[in-house]
Amino acid sequence: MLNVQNLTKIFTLDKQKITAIENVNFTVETGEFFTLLGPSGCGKSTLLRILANVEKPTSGKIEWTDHPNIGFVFQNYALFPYLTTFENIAFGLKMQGVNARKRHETVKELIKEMGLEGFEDKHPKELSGGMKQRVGIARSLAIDPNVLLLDEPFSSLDEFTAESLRKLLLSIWHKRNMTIILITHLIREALELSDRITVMTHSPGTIEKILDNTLKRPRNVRSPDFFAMEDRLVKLIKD
Amino acid sequence: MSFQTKWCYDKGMRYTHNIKTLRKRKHVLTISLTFTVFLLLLILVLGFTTLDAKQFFFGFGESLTRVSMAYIVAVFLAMILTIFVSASHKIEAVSLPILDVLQSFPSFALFPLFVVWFGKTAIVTIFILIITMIWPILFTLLTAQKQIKQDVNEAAKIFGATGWKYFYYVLLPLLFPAIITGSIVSWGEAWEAIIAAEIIVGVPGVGTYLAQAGTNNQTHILVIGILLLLLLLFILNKYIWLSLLNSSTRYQQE
Repeated sequence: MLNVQNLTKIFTLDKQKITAIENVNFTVETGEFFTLLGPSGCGKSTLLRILANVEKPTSGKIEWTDHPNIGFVFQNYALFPYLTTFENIAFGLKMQGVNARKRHETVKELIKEMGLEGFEDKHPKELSGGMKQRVGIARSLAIDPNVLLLDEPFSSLDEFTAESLRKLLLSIWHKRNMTIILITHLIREALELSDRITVMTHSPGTIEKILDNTLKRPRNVRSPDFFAMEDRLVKLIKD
Repeated sequence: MSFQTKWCYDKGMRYTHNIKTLRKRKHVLTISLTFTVFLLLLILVLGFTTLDAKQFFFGFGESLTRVSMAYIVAVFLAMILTIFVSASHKIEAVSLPILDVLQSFPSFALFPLFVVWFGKTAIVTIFILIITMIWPILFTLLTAQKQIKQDVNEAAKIFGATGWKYFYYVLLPLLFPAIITGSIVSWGEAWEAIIAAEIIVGVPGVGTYLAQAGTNNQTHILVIGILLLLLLLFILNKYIWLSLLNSSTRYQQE
């Protein structure tokens, strides 16, 4: 569904040229859970922003076979501080001009699904990190996306919260026919969630290898198979 | 470039800080009540017998109208300039130093020119007010615009807030706290300017009222007039600006 060809992005900062990503090529199938794994500063965030069309590539091509309706989940939530939970989730629909009754229906359902009942009228300031990210995910789901991009969505959260949100993300993915592209620097997170893992290296960011994650779902992160796959991935990164 | 940015940042921050300490005081209500009662008593005792209350309040009303009119124009212009300056890094690099020079230009230096153009009329005082009031608002707005987080702007774009929708649903609410803090500073400076401008031009207003009492050697009227002005400004600040400031805290970024 997505075909990325020879993507390069060069930033100019104080007349100095910095190559964020260079000659990146990959494809993502419809309904696939695809992960870009790499260290901080390898340009994976830039790559995701180009896919979301908030950053222009210097050269290269992005082809979507179906028209992408993109949802985006940010590492630091990027919620609108002046809006309540309800209004934040409804934001995309409001911008599309969906009427108030329809918005209310959709948001109500999402609030239930995301476990945000009782927090409808709270502002982001009054929410915990985990709750904020639930709002962030719900805001994306409200526009009924066929592609969900997630930029280190659980990296600012404690491990307990992160784990429950990973489970939630998987249940969301199973329920909907959605392509997910996830960015992370956590090897375990990549293995637990995704169908395929792309390893990126930095300066400049390029794609090194792609791993087919053949582990059966639901995945047990303490099973021997999981450890074996982890070894394979670590070896792939080191080589 | 970096100097200007830091300067306006400091200015905005210092003000916010002051307001916070003010709000923290739990006795604000008691203090304000005592203050109000004290002033009212003083005015009653010193007496409406000698103060021409009608003339005073009429003058105050006229001054207030001029400040309000100039304020609306100043906010509008500051908003447009903010959008213009923040449109690109190049425009910002060129226009910020220019604006910084302009804001340190004494507005009363333009006084004779305005008088030549418009005569000794109220319009002159309004023009003086506009160029006095615009700077605090403009520089707090520019600072606040810079502090908008990149990811929030990206979220706005991804979820469909572009063009006027971005302005109305994202930029305006994000800048709201800055509009309020900038306005408070600008109203403070405006009262200073309007009193002086009215005295110089000689149009009726609270400034002229006080000046007249001065030339007639009516010290008691001067004292009562100043106290009344203090009270009215206090009420304006306490009940309009401080409550707006309180309500704007929920708009603030984390």
